[in-house]
Amino acid sequence: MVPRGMGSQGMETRGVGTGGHEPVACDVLVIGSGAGGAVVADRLTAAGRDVVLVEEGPDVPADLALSPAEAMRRQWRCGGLMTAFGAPLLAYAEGRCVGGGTEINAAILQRIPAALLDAWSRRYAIAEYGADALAPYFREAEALLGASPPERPQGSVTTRFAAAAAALGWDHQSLTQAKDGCLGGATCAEGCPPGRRSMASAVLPRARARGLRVIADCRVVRLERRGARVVRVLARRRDGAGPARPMTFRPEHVFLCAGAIHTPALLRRSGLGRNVGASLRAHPVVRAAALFPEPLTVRHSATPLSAVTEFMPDLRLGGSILLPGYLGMMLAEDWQRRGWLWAHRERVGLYYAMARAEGRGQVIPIPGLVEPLVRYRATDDDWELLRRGLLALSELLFAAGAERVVPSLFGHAGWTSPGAARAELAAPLRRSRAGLATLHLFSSCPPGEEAALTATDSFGRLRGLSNLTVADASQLPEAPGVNPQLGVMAHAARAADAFLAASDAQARRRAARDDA
Amino acid sequence: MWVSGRFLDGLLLDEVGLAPAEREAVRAAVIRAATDHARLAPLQLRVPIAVLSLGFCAWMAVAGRLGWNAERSAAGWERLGVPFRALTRLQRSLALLALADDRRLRSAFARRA
Repeated sequence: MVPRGMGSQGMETRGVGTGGHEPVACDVLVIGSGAGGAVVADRLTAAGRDVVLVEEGPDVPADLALSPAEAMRRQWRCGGLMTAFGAPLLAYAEGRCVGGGTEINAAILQRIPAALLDAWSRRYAIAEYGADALAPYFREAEALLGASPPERPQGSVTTRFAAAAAALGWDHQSLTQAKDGCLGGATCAEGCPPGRRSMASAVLPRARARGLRVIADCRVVRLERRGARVVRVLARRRDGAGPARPMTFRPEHVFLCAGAIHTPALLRRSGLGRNVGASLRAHPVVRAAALFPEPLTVRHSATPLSAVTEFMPDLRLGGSILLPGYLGMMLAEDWQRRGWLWAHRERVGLYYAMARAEGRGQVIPIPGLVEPLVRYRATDDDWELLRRGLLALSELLFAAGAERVVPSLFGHAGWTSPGAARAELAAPLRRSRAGLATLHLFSSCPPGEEAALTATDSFGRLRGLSNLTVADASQLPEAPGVNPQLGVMAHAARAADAFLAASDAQARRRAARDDA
Repeated sequence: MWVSGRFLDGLLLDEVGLAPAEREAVRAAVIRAATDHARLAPLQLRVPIAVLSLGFCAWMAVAGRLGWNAERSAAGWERLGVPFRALTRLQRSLALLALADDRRLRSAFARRA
């Protein structure tokens, strides 16, 4: 087994004190290895900085072919069983492994719409921000990950969907994906050893080659502050099956890249920051299973990469990865009414409507527990969006030839005609019956100079501290309406560049003083 | 995992038609995998679901003895937002995930297809 991006000598602890009591010193400590942390580590090592990166989850070997259940247990936080409390519950998922969410998502790369970036720039008073400022970062990330449209036949799960969109006259497009030699096995959520270009396979290896030290299975529990600086970072590292042992870091600077849930949770647990963790946003998704008259060649279908963009940025419609286990999980939500579809799984496709919601959530650390309490509440406008999304999705699926469309509404037996769906969806959705889920969370530490609304300055520096920068999904000011990975990478690269510019300027000033 | 056990028996018998000995082995493996997976859920999710589910079991027992329509009562409680059946859903969900993962089952499905 070869750890991702490593030679056969392995080792995430190479060059790092592992005794537990001897503090590890470094220029920069990066906490989290996802789309934010990996990009920051890549940029800082390229600039010659001594960087240590810690990741709470394991380093999963690159050549390990995982089944869906094994992947969920190893690479997903809490095995994928995370829920934001509210009415209704919102199921969410996060990656927890070296590479973070980029190891379990569909590797879809979309730019945040220019109009949204410019609006956020004004609303949050974010300096040197907007579509033009971020465009070079988007281009760079796309090139790094080999962003490209689907190159193989997509299978009838997707072709039916795209043909129906065309018949209805709705805008639709193929989504670009970070890949290199995709085999079309729809294994994106299981790490996809052969085809995915993720942080673990494409970004961290080159940073490691420049001297990046990566410590996996290491959870940061607290940041200690003295005055305006973080002076110590306390962590616990699990080595094999043994008990977790304490580790201490003494970095000059900290980049906090633990994601939209655990970045604010760590800050709040450490008593740091204002406006932290109270503005969590999400893309809630309603799903529908569609029963078609003929088999869908599911076994030969790639991850669906066709999306209806007619209603963007507020709504996007698309297809979900369709392996039997995932279909089973959706049906099990209401087995009494949906279970019969299991016997017809060769003819069933799974689809979604994703809303750019305005609802907000809170991240609340609980003493003694690793996972914080997450609360989320969708607004009335969000529910209206979801209703419209489900209506559009049902229209599309019937146009695609579906015999029955079963929405993720508890107690619902499904519609057998577009008229039945229209009649029912003329009324608001019954919230207590809706089964909502999301893979996209952000905005819990928004940036900007509008101090009442934001947690950091325009470049991710936490207010009140001189040596802590936030660089992950929590920095997207609001829901972007697209898959967030590319936006997170662009924001993180921008934050790393700002840090390098500021520290270089500081070094020049210090040198000038010394000369004087 | 009593729910998954009964639920799986139906699936394994009706759908795949495994021989009794093989069925027992698959059933045990799937329940074990689903149980291990469920243990990964965070405490703040497991505790309320477990407490509510125990309450639900007690309610069903009492309602059944009194001759009430227990299933209807449960649906009523769920409409009030009490996720009585969340544990059942979770178990079924994980069991199906594990079931679809099981190599013996995959080959049985392939033979059947």
